[in-house]
Amino acid sequence: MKCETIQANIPEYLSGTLDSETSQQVKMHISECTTCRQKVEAMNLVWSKLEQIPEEEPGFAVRSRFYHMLEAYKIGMNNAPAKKAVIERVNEWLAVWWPRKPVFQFGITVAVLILGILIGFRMNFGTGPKNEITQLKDEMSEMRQLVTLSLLTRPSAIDRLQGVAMSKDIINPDEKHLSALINTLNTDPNVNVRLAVVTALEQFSDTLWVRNELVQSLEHQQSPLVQIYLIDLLAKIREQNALETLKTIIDNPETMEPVKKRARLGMEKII
Amino acid sequence: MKRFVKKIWITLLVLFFTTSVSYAESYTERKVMKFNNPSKTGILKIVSGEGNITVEGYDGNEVIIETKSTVENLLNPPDKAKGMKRISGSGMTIYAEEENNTIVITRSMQNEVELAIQVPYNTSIRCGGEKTGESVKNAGQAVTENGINIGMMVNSILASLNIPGGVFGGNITIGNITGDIEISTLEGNITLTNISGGVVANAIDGELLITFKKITGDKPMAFSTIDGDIDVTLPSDIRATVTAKNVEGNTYTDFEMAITSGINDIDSKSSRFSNNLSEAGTGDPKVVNQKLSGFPNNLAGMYGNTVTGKINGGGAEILMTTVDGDIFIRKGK
Repeated sequence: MKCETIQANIPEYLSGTLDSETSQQVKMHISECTTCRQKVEAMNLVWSKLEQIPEEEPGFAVRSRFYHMLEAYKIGMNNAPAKKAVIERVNEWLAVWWPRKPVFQFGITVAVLILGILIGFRMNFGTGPKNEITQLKDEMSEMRQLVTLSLLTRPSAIDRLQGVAMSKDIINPDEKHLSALINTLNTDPNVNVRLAVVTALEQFSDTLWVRNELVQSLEHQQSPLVQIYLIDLLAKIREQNALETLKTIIDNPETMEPVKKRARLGMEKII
Repeated sequence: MKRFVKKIWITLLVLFFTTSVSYAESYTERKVMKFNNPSKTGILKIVSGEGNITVEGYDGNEVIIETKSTVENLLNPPDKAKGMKRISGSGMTIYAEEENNTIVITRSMQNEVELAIQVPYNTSIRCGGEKTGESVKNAGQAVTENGINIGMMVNSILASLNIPGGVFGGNITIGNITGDIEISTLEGNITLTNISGGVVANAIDGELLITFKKITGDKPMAFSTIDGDIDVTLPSDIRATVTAKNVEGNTYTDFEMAITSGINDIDSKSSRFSNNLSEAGTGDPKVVNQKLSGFPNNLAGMYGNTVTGKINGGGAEILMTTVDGDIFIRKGK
């Protein structure tokens, strides 16, 4: 046996915890090897000296200090009873529910996880789609309004007609959109586009603002075709405020005869 | 037979004289231009002026412009100019330039200039209607934050100064075009034949005769005139929602049209007729091979009508309006 292994076994050898076979081997090696023997002797000396250190007994002072501390702790506990008690009680209460066995703990964790996933799915597929559809609808109508607005400003009259046609499909057009249509009615260089705007504005003519704008537009329109379209629409919706404008048109010597005739019929219908 | 032969002779003689006269008394110039990017749709704009215009689609990619003018100083150049070619001058017939794949032709406002133009089939054609809009470059794109179009604002200002949007006179004849066509003219007939694009046409005093070969895409269209008939031949398979408005005249069709609304706009007192018309129309598609709208004027308060009908189930809107004239909606091949 090598010296290193022997030396590793010395403490056990001295305390007598080595098995008899190894103990015999160590004994034989020590008798032959001086270095190892010296090491055993040196260690034996430390061992025996450690044994000589007296065991300390707690004195009277220590005893009384301990009881003082205990008393102080009890007083402290009594001074702050509620706080600790609630937490403790909750902890205790929870501890009752929490199973001791890890198998049940694991089971509960998995169950909660599944429940969470199920709730998550419910949230997304139950109430989610409704919100998404309305949101999509809103976005669609917003997009449609944007497209319409941009079409109305195109240089091509066919594109602008497309814009006017699309605006008919907007259910609740906002102010911006209606004013874009009115603006087209008043300023578009193409007569046909203006005519199309009048037909498109019919469905929005329940708005007071639109009705007023229609009357105002009639005052300024130069094209007899647009004049006739506006007169017909105002007569159809029986706009009382249009009467004065219709009278001006009839009295204007520059107005074309068919337009005058139309205006007279319009007045009859409104009254 | 004898009379027939005589008729032919007279026609030939008239033709001979009129053509020879017009050829003898007009100064002709030829100009060839090209669109910068032939792969994209080119736009031909004829901005202003008076005189007949003929535009014909052809299998090529050049724009060949022929101008005919009867201006005195062009017809009779001074003797000193003999053997020379006129390259510029006060009697200049047209001004044409190409920019952004758009060829703009401006005619002299003082003299009548006839135009005969050949363009690639797919060219878009715009005659008049945009003159004031042209004054602001790229006006169509300029939109302020409030959605107000600057170009349109400028137009409205110009309109308030009584500058008309389309300054035009003369007949406009266009054939064999697949691009979109926009026409605004003051006086003269508009004749479009063999058209496959969208059309927006307006005349103050003139007839509209439009024949479509086919219509690609759901393009809304509108035709209007104050004094003249509108005669439109649509492809038999077209899906469209047609609204026709007469003031003095009537509307006729040989299409099977499902009338969705056809109520007399003006007079509610004569509801008898409104009811009749709506009864005739609201149901299943019916053959309306007769008068669609318009009532005898002797009926109390009856004065002009609007009718809306669907052809082949309905589709893009086509708006037709005439004050003093009839509307014919014909079924093509």
